[in-house]
Amino acid sequence: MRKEKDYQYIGKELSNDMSYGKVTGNVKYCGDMQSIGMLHMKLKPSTIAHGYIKNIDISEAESVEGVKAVYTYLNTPDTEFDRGRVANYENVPYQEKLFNRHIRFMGERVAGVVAVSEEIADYACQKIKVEYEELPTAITVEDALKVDAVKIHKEGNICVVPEINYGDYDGCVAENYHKSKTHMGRITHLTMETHASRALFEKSTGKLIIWSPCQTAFGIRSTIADFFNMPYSKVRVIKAVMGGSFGCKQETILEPLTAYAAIHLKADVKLVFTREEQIINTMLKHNADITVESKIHKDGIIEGLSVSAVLDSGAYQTITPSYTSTMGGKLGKVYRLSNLHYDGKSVCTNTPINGSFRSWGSCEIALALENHLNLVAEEMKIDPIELRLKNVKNEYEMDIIKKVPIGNAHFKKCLIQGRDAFEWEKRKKECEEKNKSVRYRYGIGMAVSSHTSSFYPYMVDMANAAIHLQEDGSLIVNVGIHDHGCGTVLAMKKIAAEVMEMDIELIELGEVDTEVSLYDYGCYASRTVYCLGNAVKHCCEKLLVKARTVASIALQCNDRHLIYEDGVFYKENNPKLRIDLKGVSKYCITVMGEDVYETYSYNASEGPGVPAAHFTEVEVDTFTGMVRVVDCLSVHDIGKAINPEICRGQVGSGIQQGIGIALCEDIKIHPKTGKTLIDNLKNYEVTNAFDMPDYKTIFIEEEEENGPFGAKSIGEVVVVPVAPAIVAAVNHALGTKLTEAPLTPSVILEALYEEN
Amino acid sequence: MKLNFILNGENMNIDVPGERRLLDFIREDLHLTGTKEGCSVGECGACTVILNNKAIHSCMTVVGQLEGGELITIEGLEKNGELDAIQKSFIKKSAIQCGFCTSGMVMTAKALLFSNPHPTDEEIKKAISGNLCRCSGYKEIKESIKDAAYNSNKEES
Repeated sequence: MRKEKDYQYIGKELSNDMSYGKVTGNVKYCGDMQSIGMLHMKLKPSTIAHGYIKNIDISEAESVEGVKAVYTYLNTPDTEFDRGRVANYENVPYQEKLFNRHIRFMGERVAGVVAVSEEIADYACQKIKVEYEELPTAITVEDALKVDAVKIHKEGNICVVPEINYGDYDGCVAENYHKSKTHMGRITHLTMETHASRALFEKSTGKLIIWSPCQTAFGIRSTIADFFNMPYSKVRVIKAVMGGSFGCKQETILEPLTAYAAIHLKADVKLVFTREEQIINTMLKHNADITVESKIHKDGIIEGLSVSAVLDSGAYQTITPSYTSTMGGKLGKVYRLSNLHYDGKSVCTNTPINGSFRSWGSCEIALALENHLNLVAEEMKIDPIELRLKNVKNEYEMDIIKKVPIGNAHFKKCLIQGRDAFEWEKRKKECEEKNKSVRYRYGIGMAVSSHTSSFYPYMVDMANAAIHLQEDGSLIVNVGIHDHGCGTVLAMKKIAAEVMEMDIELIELGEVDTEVSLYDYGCYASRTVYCLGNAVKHCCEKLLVKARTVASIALQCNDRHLIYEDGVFYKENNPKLRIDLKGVSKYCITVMGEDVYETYSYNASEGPGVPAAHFTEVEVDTFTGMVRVVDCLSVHDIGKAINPEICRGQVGSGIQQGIGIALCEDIKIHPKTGKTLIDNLKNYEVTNAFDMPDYKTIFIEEEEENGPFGAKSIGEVVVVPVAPAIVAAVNHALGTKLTEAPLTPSVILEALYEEN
Repeated sequence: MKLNFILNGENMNIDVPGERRLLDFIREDLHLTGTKEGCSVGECGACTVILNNKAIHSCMTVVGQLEGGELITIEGLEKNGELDAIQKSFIKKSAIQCGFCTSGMVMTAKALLFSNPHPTDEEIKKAISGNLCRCSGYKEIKESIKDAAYNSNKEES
């Protein structure tokens, strides 16, 4: 294989896959798909937060010209499914139905209309008359936790996850004890593409075909096929081009609805959500309350840590118990801890459903834990970076919860390089100087965090590749990939091209289509580059072994005497004796009577950590309470950046979302009525190009031994340390001890008022 | 209403209800699905098209406003198989990830360069502040627009 200095593709900048199609508007996203006779679905939302449907009259809607079907709980199956199930052996809450008589949040679908156009379906929805019998509500977590709270589900409102205990937190002793509480608000993922699904019942074959911009085509397939009691082989899920996910397209939400209509009407049915529907009726990022307690020695060494988390699942538990549990699992990744306790609860409320968000709990844990440690540093008068340097793990230390090493993970390098590049000490002094101004105050803050690169050892993490050499020497790579738009298809192609030493333009690598792809769990847990990349790499290597054997037979020489370079095998001492991959294919097919292909199943035996540190400076306007990030720096131990520029783009994305979490993004729900108060982009504050601060990125590229070309993950960790660093910077600027997010102007003004 | 306008360089004469939302007309009637719907309230910029050299939100515009005008959608930028300078720069500078904001972003940039061929960094930021991108921190997008302006000006001089 080529040496690193000779890499043609790894670490080189190439335009993203489908760039031409995207920049010319030719790429078809799910919502862009049109077909003759295509039907359109619209859903009718409830107007109450909790209650039963007493009466639902669909007669007028049914009589609207162009309406093909109207669905309610009365004429659809009672079968329960779970949006979060990605494999049929998973133990999940199973609380959802296509349509329910029991309505559990305001805006929940009560009916669906399928018509020849979206306008007609929408119009007919308005003609459906619903009478409700209202029940008492539990809108806030506090309400839902009360002993006499209304039961939103028969199982009750609370799901307690298994505790994590390592060492003995209660028994451990240190000179300092600290306690903090962090509150995190709800945000919307705000993918530019809203949720969409298309389902076609193919009359000629009896198959159901679903197009979905999803993260788990096989997860959708098993959920749908089990729901309809169909053989998995008769349900085909094709991953559509995805206009962003950040976790919100990880779950099966619209597909059961379009699938039901498609099967019932033997038709082609599309459902595309509006922004309002996406905010209220898909999922939001959890609001959470997390308490952290620590026992810390006077030299700053952490003796013990106890974390207690309460997550609002919204009206259905779905993935929240698993998410809450996973959060605890993140505690073993960053700091060296001798004593650890974690407990968590997932609580149902009469509010829109919360679900998967980029980093699956790392964000929440980092906000609470880093807030805590920043406050501890302030109280103990230790520099926050010094406090981290005393406690972060060294390379290859064990993750005490997962019981696997964290890999070649460089926390200290992230901290030190970041501190130097950000000129931490100098800025600290400058802030003090600048804070002599009456109105504007400046502060700096930092946070450190990590994430994973696979879900080993949580479960067997397997990725499969099948690679087929074509008759002209080009290559078709089959790997169950779901590109979120962040360049993972390009990364796979680069890996294949580098190993095969061939022109990347000769490689075709499509995304998942369950009818032709090998099985894959789905592209989440930041596993794509590490796991699928390894499958592609090893499969290419295996293919080259096969090709070498064919070449040696064709050239009639010992395969050990063959050199492979730039797609050609030649004899070491006689370079004129050569055969290229086209020749290999031809010889293999025509003489040996075989095709040239290989398959490979990669099993991850590690989930390397991806240390990240974020450093930020803020300006707080004490008159208005507005906080502005002036400048920031993200340092990421990425192993090896296969697509460096796209990875940098993702860092920017993480900073943008982190700023949103810390300062402005907040989906407020009315605490009495359950109405979602912010349901479109008119009143949702988000960081646009004008507000986006200047930021810098440093990648530490010390290869991960078993990563493909040394690579680890990047896509989720980018958001993780950003918000706590900003909260710390605000506290530094104001001398406050704020821990909640977002720090909206009203929160800042209130804190200043209290201070005065 | 009978409507006369120019679409991506071609004369159009179409009978269409004047109050139809321009975005729906473009996507559903003209089948030009490169223009995207992101929020329907003129806040995200995904539906941006160029009408009479100005960037407009097609979700906030009715078809009647096209009369006698010149409409350019993302599909109209590539000429004789050659991409517009902005499109080339977006590809070159890795400004494309999920791509859903790309059409609107490119159209906004195109309109900016129509009116201001030498935009400053501040003017670029301002121009695209109504176009949201969630996959990036806007850095690559801003650099692409700068690069396109530079290249267009170089070609002209």
